Amino acid sequence: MKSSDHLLTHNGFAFPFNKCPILPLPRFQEGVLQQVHDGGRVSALFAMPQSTASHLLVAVISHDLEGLLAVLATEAAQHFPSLTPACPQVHLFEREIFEQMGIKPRNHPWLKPVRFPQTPGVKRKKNAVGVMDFYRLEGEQIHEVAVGPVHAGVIEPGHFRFQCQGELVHHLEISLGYQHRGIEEHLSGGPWPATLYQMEAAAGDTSIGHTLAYCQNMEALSGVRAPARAQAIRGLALELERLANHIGDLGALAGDVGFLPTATYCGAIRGDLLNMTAVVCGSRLGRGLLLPGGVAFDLDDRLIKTLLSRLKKAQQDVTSAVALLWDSSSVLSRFEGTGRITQAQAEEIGMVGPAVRASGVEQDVRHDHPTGIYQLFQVPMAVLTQGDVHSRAMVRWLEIQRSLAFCQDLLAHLPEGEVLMPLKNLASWHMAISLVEGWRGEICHVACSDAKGKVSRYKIVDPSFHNWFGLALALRGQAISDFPLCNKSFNLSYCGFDL
Amino acid sequence: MLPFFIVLLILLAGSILAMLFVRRTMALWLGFGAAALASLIGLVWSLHGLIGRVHHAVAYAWSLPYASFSFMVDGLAAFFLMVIFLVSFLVAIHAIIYFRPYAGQIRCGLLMFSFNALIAGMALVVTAANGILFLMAWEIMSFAAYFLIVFDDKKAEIRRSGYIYLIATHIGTAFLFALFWLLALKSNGSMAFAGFSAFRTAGLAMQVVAASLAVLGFGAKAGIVPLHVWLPEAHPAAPSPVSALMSAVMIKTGIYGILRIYTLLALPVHWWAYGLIALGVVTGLLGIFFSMMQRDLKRSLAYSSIENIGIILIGIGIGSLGLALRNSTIALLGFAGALLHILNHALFKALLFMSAGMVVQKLHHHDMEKMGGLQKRLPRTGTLFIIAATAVCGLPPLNGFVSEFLIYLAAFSGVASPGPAGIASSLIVIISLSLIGALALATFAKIISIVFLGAPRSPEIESVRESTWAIHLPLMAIALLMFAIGLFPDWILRLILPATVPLTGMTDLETATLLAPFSPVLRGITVTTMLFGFIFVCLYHLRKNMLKKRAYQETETWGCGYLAPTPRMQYTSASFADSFMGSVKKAAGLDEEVDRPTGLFPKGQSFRAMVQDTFITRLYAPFFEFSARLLGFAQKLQHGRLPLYILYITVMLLLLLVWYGGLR
Amino acid sequence: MKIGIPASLILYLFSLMAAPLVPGIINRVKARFGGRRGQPLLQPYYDLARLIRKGFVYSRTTTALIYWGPLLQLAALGTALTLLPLFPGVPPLLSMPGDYILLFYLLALGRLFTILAAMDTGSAFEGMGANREALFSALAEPALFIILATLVHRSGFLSLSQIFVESSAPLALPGAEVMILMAALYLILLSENARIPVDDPNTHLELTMIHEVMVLDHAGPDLAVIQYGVSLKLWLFMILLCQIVLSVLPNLGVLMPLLWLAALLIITISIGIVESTMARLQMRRVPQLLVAASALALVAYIVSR
Repeated sequence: MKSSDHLLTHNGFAFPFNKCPILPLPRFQEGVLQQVHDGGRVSALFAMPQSTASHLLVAVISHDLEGLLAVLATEAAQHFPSLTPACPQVHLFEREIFEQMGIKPRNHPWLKPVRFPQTPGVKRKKNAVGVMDFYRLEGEQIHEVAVGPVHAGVIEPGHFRFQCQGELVHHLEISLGYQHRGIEEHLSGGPWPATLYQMEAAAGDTSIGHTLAYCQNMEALSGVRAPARAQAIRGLALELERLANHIGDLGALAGDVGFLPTATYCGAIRGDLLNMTAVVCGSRLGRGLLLPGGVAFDLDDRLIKTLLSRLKKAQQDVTSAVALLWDSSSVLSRFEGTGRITQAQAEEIGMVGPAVRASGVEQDVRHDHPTGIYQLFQVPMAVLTQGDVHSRAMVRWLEIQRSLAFCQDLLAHLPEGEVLMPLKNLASWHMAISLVEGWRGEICHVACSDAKGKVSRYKIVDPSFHNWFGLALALRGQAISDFPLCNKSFNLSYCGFDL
Repeated sequence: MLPFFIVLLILLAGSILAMLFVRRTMALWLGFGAAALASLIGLVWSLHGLIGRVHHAVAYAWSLPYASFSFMVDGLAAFFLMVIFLVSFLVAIHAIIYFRPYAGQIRCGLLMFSFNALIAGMALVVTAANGILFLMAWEIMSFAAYFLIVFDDKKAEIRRSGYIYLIATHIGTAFLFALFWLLALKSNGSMAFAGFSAFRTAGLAMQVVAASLAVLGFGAKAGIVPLHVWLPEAHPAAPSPVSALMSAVMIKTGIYGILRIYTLLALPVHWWAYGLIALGVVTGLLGIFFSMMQRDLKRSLAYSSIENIGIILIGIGIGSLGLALRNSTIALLGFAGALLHILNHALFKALLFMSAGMVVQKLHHHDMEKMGGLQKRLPRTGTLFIIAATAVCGLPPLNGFVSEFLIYLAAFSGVASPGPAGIASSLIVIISLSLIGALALATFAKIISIVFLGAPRSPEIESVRESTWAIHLPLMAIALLMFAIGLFPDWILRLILPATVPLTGMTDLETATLLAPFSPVLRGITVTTMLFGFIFVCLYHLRKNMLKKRAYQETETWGCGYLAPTPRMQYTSASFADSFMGSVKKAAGLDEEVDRPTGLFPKGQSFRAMVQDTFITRLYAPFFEFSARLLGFAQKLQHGRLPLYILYITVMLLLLLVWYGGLR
Repeated sequence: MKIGIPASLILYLFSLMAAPLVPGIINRVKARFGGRRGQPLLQPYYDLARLIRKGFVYSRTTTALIYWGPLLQLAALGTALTLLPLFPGVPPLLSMPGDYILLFYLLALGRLFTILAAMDTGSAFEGMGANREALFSALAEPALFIILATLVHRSGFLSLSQIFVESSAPLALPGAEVMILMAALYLILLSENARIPVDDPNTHLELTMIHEVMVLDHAGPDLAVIQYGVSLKLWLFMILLCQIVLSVLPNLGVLMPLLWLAALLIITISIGIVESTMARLQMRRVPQLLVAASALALVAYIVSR
């Protein structure tokens, strides 16, 4: 990689935007391909309006081994040759760019709507979200199964289209966008008073993750460091969020195969974990806990003691509940070999989080690009190789154990001091990149400020954005009755994708 | 016998008149009308024979060597005559309206000629009492059927189906020639059936050979696996009323042949019983399995006929087992069940083919994957089809249940009886009957669902409208008969009882006495099904009353709130069959052309699954290819070069001369 | 012991009324295993009462079959129960040689029309459920008939009432064979009644359902008819199993009713326990389970010779 082609930075840092070279389009594309070839991963690729005629294309490539982030930029007008054929992991980014900015990636193999935004000028039937050309396996003997947007359970809306031969799924295509709220657009000119609440609701079950990424960006842009105690509480909140969700997922996986004991117990233990967050900040989902510059609530000794004892209790409960799962051969036979994603597939499409770690890829933001408390306290990475439902469940279980240990360790050694620093004005013409390992995987926020120190473009990449395609691939050649199980083993966010 | 000859005369007159006036619409009335009239007379006459237990036998001399015009009508023949004439009568009436679009065409005249010839041929087959006469009648029937099959001979695949039928049926006839020759050997060269009883003294080996020849020869007509391959080819090719006639009665002449030979031979019944049960089980299971796999509506029905032939064979088998075990109850139940199933199958298969034919006539194709939603557009046809399908699954309160019940009861009696001999084979009968029944249920649930229910899979279905009432009348008559048999099995069993006499070797009185304890059983079916009907009617009215008082709403089928549902979002015939094939897809003859979606962003793949009969692809095709290669050398001799042909002739002459010289 | 028609009629009516209690008890057992208190025991009755008061909603795609299905199924079950001896020593309302054939063929009739009612909607979901139902019940049928053949073979009688009522020692099977027979019937019971490990009556995932997805487009009174039919069918299979269990035990005279209730309760609770401690089978493994049931029944048949 030629160093003149890109800018290297770290997670949670800001840099003046003019330091980043604007490359000609071919060199930009070569650069992206080269970096991906060298082990990089596209964390974000987006367009930002530069003038009325042209847009700036920005790519953020994570180099996990080196702990570095490379930023490349170029100018694009109406269209550009699609990178997807050479680098499939950008396929959805390019579709998104086309949808948001109207810049067409030429020869994109699957240029379909991402979120069906009601853009002015583009004529579409009102409310026609989900109506598009789906992949079709031709032949009168194939039947399609269309699931969603309204599902039988209390889950989010999304449309799944299966091409089936009897019970066998030949192909699955997923169409989302039902919950598109325009969070990124709302942020331009911000930060607004509502921004923090929007971040907390970007993906409702990942409040801490997204808010943390946002706070890190604001702090980087204003040059403020959150105090150590605040960093520790943020880590605690992030891990509690992970714990609650992972435990809930294991319970839901058990429920999907009709294994009641683990399903009911994990459901209850998940509540206990959520309640711990509620003890700290009053909200089970951690809303209102994080502020740019620190956290809003401190922990006193009594609270620490309560949390420690509750954690210990939860640890015992969850261990016995989950042990039932691994001890039941009827469960294991459902989990093993179902919905397999190979390492090559996972890397090719740029998956993240527990799903990619279950396929044998060592990748964890807490480990590769640590910020805050993770620079001091390590969480061992959990990696398995089979890439099936069992691996994805087991990775979660390993992470539960390690997070529990981490939280107890952290609570026992909480740094002293303040928990909140006042935020200064944002630096003008800067860009900040913030990665957080949410419970689903890498959350990437990129913030750009304009001349007045206001946000000019804010890019959010939820881990679900990378992983939905993985679910679609995992279903090929599977029995359709295993779809709910596969789906739950990924447990992706609809609104995190839709934004 | 006079009415019988009048019947034949009317049939002959009808066919000739139909040919003479072929250009007029009237021809339909002449041709099919004659068939209907003749069948009606024949039906009354055969019923009279059956109820009155009247036996007829006449013989007239014939100049042909070994041949004589000798006819015999005993209980068995009268029963088959009744079935033949009953179905022919109803099909002929249906055909008058069905073939109206073809009125005035030459081929329509030929069709009517062959139709009447087929009825006459079948009637002759079951009454003939002389081997030569029998074979002549057999050939008349076979050729008539051939001309009926190739009615639409413009299409290559229909001509191909005709050839396959012709080959199969003549291979069968060849075996029959051998059979009659063998039988005649023992009776001093006489071809009279009466004389064949001398064969009873023949050794075991001879008996086995004769029985095998009978099964091969008649089995080819009946559709016994693996001799069934012509059936699924011929039925889709023929016009539907013809399919109805062929499937409902013509293939039963094969069963008649087997039964007739059975009465002529004193077979060591044990192995005969096991053999028939084995054949029946294989035929029944494979028949219904192949039926499930089909995508062509009429082909699926054809395979279902094979399945029913299997059930009939199982019934005959368990009847023979009863004889072998010297348990006359089992024997009587088995044979009565088999005979009743012959009648039942004739009724519901005729109804199935005729109602399917109405669908085919509207859509001009038999591809189930392009059907759907027809119950809304063809409510009468659909309802009749559903009734027939319920019967073919052997479900109460319809006729199919009664015959299967009798066969079951025979098998359960075998299970209950002491002694090991019958226990294993009875259990096999029970297992296979239950599996056949359950698979038939699944198959016909699939057919009804894909053809009649759901949303139309092709746009032209939207404009389909029901035909006139008249065309449904014969179909409704069949449905009524089916309900009558299903609800009052006691009566029908008494009607067919004389037909069991020649098979069981018992007297009329003995069979009646044996059957007496089963009258309450059959009345139990009447009471139970009546109770079932009563409960249903009560519930139905309860719901109807509720409907008046409650809110009523119509909406879309639940599609998860998706905005643009399509008819592709319905189960297909192939999808339904898929899980039934499990891991034996290849062995079952399923040829899948799957262009699987590969890569991350697939485009333009397609899927096609074709089902070919395994017996054609694995057995007959290799055999015929092998024979073709074996005989390939003969082709080298036939090169078309004149000088060499002259050489052949010269050499031949020389050889003859040498031979002649040698003789001197 | 000869008890006439009144006792049979009372038992029949009792069955009709008590059947919905069974799912109520099963749900309670499952709740207890999950550490919850669970719904009221009478909840199935409340559900039926609520459904029956509702209005009718039909898809425009459907024909009359959508309501014929549930009605025929219920009528078939109501008739089938008249053929089954419900209590040891008490003959059924109707009886004749081969009555079990009629009984299970009536159930098959109900099944055919339940499938057609599902397919009537033209929905892929319901197609999926109907397809699975057709396959699994087809595989369960032979097992069921082998079990019946074993009963007939052991007792030498041709009707259920003779097998269970008239003969003094109906089966006289040694312990092991009866256990095998009961195991086979128990598997069939679970499969035919859409219980775990074959189907999960409590799941909300359409793609994994069998029975529940077939009734996706049924609502109001039609659904009530279906739900009631479901509990009647479970009752019917439980009674059959109970009869086999009790036929091995000595006749305890006046204690018989208690024993009968206890046996039914134990079967009910055992279903709840199975559902609480087992995961569902993968769909493609279900046929293996059913073939195993057939094999078990066959072993019982062979051993009982």
